[in-house]
Amino acid sequence: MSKHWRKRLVGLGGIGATLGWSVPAHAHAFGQRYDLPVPLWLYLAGAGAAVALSFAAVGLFVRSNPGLHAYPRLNLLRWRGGRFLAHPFTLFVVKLFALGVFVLVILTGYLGNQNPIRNVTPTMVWIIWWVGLAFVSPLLGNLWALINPWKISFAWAEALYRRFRPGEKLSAHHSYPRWLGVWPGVILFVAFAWAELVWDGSVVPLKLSFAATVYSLITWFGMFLFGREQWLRNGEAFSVAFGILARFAPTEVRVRNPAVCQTCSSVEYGSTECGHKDEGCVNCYECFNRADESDREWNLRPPAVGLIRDGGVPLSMVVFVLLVLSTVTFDGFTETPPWVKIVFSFYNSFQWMGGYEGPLISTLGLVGFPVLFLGIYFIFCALMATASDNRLSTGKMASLFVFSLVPIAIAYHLSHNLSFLLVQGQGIIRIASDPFGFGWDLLGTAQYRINIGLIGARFIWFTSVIAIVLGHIISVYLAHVMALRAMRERKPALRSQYPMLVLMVIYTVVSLWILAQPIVETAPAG
Amino acid sequence: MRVVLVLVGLLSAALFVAPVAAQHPHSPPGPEAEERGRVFELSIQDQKLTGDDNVLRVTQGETVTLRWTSDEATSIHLHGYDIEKQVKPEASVVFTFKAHATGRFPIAAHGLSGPAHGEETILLYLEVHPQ
Repeated sequence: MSKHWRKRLVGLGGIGATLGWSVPAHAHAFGQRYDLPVPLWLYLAGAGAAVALSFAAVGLFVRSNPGLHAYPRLNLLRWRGGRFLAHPFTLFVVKLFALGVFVLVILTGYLGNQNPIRNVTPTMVWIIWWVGLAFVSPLLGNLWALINPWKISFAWAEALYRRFRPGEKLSAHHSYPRWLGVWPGVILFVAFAWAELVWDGSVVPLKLSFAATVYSLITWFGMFLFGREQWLRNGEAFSVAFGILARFAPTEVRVRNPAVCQTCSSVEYGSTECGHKDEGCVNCYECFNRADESDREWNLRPPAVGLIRDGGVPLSMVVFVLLVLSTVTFDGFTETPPWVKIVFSFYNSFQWMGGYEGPLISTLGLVGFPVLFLGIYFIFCALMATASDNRLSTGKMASLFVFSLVPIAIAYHLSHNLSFLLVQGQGIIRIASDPFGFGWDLLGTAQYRINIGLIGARFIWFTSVIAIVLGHIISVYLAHVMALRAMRERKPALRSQYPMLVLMVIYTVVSLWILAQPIVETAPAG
Repeated sequence: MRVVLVLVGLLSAALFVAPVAAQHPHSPPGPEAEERGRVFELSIQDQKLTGDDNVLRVTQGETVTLRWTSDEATSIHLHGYDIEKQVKPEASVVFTFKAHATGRFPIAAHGLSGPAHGEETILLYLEVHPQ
């Protein structure tokens, strides 16, 4: 995960000798990836399959009826097991555990051993929470909406407040300005991405806990200012990010009774998230919490249908989605030899930075990538507008289709992190016994050694390439469905999809290309 | 649509099930005194590795021997396999192990003199390819 800034460049004798730079002592072992690059033939096969299947898919869809208004659903609350999992007491135990882990991880950072591989904080934050939840959200469902410690703690504080001051609410009662959209989330996500990919303090337990504390204060303050659900929907970067990923998931929560939505704060402020007309409301946790038990559903559904939408999203959401997509790609790109060459070629120009050349170049890359993504996306949206005889404007295209790119990003993210999560993630088994790094052995697992042979390279290669090709097809399909629903007429709708198809092929091939690059452990820095 | 959904479902299931099924037994490193299998001679001079080749390529299951010499005392660490030994100018050191796990593993020197003093310097990578 996080890049550890190499203190100094040793023997900068041309790029041929790209190795030979240094790592701060003992930071190296954290977050290292051991992936072998995908072989050339498999990369080409994957790219070819993506292109060929795109055409096959389009040919097939021309004849298909993409009516997905009422996709098949299976309510898990009809079974005893589902009701047990959704029982308030079960949920209370899960929340209490989540909040306990959160408090522990903050405390270990402040009080524990500062070696990143002996302290639980870096592993818990970067591998288990960030990478782990990015797996769980699209593959299982929006777990973060349940275990978010800021949400839990604020909700419990609200309940306590009500007990002492009945009828009053723990809030400053500011109404959330509509123009603000998810911009606060965008800004906080940029800060997070910087911490993840550039900041050398990201593996230092104390600094990581401090950053988490600052973010906690911002989040609690935002919830106090505008109301809990409003801030979670717009300002809490991870609720927004995991919420987007969870749109892909094969589960949803739904409120059958549309009347509940009429008093939902998201409708009040013009969000289109809540209130799916007659269908009830999907994945709005505010409505779900307020609804009668008989109106609630916890459904299994086909994957990815949550990404299909009829209306567009606000510009801030377009930017947020592209920010997440570009950050995921940038994360992989910074480990490739071409990125190292870029860093080298700019390195001397930034000598005046006096030792901060590396972080500066990375920061520029981190900011430049989303700008590049946005630029390319809008160019293609303009092409789509032209191709559809301007049935929809460029801006409308952009706001309508942005979610259709999400499956490719999810597939790439899963491929990039599969072995990382399963191999480096094993570190948690050992550290769970000694979270502070004081030499304890609470669970008897303190001697556990990471099994680097848990999954083989061949398995990772095939899983990755298949996942990316599948993600690509799902993306093509979603965009196609949305085009037909938005434009009604088939011809312009289909024509609008050719630029989109090209964009998706480029995005998919770039994702595959990164996986086919040897991971270069480092980037030089000051 | 149905086909896509089924495929996605299968893939999701595979992501969870396969890692467990694909477990490899953890074989212990071989005896270190004798040199066996593929032998690589590696030499550190002026705080870096001599020669141009930055990647050693071996096949999974091979026995690999790395024989190190150095013009200064340092500690050499093969990541992943987690083998770490001291090398001194007067005494070469030998790593012998069975390449049981695939992957690309950095080999670093710790405590070289010069500008990187006290830090880790990545010397080269060991790539273990599947059979």
